[in-house]
Amino acid sequence: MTAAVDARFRASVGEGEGAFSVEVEFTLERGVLVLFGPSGSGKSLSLQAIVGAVRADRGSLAVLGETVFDVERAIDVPSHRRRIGYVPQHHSLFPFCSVFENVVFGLPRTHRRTVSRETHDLIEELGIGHLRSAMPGTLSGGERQRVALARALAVGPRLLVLDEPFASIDRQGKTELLGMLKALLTRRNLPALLVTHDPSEARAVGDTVVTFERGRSLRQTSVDALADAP
Amino acid sequence: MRPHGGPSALRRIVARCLLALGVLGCSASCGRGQNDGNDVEVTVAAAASLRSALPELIAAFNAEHGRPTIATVYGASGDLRKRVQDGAPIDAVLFAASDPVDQLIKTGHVLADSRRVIAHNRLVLIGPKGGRRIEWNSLDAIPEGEKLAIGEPEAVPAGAYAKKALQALGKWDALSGRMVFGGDVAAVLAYARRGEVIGAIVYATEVVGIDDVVVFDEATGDWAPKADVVVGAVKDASHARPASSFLDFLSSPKARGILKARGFELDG
Amino acid sequence: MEDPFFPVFLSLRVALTAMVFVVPAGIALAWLQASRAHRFRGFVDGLVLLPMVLPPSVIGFFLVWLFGRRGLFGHALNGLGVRLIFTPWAAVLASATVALPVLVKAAQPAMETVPRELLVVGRSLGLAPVEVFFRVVLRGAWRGVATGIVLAFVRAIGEFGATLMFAGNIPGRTNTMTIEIWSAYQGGDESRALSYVVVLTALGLATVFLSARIAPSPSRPR
Repeated sequence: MTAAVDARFRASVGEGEGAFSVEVEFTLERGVLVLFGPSGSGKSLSLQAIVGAVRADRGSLAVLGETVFDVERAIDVPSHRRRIGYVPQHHSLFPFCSVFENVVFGLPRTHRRTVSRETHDLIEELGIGHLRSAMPGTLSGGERQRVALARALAVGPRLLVLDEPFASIDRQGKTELLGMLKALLTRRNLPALLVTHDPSEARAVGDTVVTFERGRSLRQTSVDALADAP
Repeated sequence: MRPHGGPSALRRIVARCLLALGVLGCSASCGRGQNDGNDVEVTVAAAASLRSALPELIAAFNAEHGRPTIATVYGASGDLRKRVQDGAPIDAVLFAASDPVDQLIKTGHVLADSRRVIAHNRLVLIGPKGGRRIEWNSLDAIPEGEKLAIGEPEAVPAGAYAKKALQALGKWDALSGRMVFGGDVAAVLAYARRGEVIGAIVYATEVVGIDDVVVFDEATGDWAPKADVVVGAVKDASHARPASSFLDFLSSPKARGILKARGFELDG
Repeated sequence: MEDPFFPVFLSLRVALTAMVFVVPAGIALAWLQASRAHRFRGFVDGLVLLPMVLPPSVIGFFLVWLFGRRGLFGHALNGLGVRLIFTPWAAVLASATVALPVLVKAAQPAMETVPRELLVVGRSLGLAPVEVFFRVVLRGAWRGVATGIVLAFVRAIGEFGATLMFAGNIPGRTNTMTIEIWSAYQGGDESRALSYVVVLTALGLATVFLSARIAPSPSRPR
């Protein structure tokens, strides 16, 4: 069976003194892979390369058997065709759109006007039905990330990538959201990559872990091998 | 107090400030009626068409009479007339037409008995060097898209004279929409030198020593207006005495020689 | 007697035509500068700022020097039968030259404040780069862009020095309101000057009012 994600590449940002690069190697068969490590270790940069915001220097990435990029073979699928959903930590919602407009943002125009069955169900599933016409500025952190999730899922991605999505949310809300996320992903059989530096978060959601350290990804392990947070 | 034709006190103040910025500072002894002749600076407002001859005239005056220093403000005669009326600290005027001077005499800004015609200027039709030749009589037949440059008739005496000449020749209406009005004679000359226009009407004195234009035709004949260079002393000026001694100098043989060399026409 | 309304309509036509070029060029340039730190960024920044800091007569000089009949590009244009100097198009070019930096200087910072994450999110949702630009960047920066357009238009219609040199004062052809004011004042016809002064002042006030309502403020999201 083809792996959900097969990544082995190197990506960098910046020039000269401020340059930083990360070497990545991991394979995700199915489920959720956690990219774990302290800040500055290269986790987010890896996500940026996977999503297409940064171009890799060398190596390749394949999602569900399809090559997303391969530097040596000069293949590079543009971001908007990768069908990889993205939930950032900050600035996740379009501030000039209501919750509903945010959720349907990636859908074709006709589906943005009228509420389709799928959209309705998705909104309910994420528990934001009562916030439809609210503006992002009025939402709590947790609510915002729910909307961001709904939006990413609405376009039917084949892989979901989340960059410390619940880092700025309180402990209680975090637990709730993590549970909801895990259930969502399992229900849809949707593979996901989640970046975090919090071991309890990793354990709540992850199936496997790749630890990052100083710009390199280390051995891939099962999530139980992760030590508790100090 | 200066007689006034109606400008507000504010305009007077603004005009004074602007002129002070444009002209090198006032001397320490500057004041009404005070002219010990040594540290004094006389301010003369002159038409732009005089900017080639005036420095030479001033140098000759200083060589003969020593101090005072004479500062000049150039501009279009209409513009300068307004400044005198607004109360700018100008001591004497040298304009390229009698009209603005006569207007200033009427409003009481210039002393009637100081008015003098010191020379005349002729109009010439010029064009860029290497360009097509044109003539007074065939001006209405200049090619499509080409323009003729003259001074702004409302504000520049050379332009007003050009308009009079063209009207006398019956070409004015035909040329409507095909003339570019320059802000002063310098601008008109610049257009011609650069070849942006097929021809221009300027004073004969403008082109003395300029070799990238060609004089096609002088304006001689009944229809040709004669431009008078008229001078006048401003009433109640700060430096009335040295100013009028300069004006007297302009009628001297030395001054006339300079004017003639610069292309002006003289009486007698 | 000449049609007194001509300068009003001419000024409006010239300014609007200039904006037809300035709006797309200005927005594109602002985005180019805002979106990436390319090698010539500083140089382009300076070049764009130049018409804002140079005196109008210097700008006029450069325009004549470049596009006059014997100018650098003027020669080539002449060969194609195109004449710019002393035509209304010269006024358009002069207005566009001074209006462009105004738009860029207002639009660029507005675009820079659109968070990078939103651009990545937009693309991840399947929006092509062009769609991301219109639906995310422009929508996010619309206040700054709209303010820039309004201010640029007013700057275009208020152009004088460079226009006088490059388009010249040709009554019935290139005499915009600003040129008419100067010309009328010089000739002593202050009442004629005053009428155009009133029109331009009213336009200026309307702009101030409009831009105050559009402009980003702490209480209004960008």
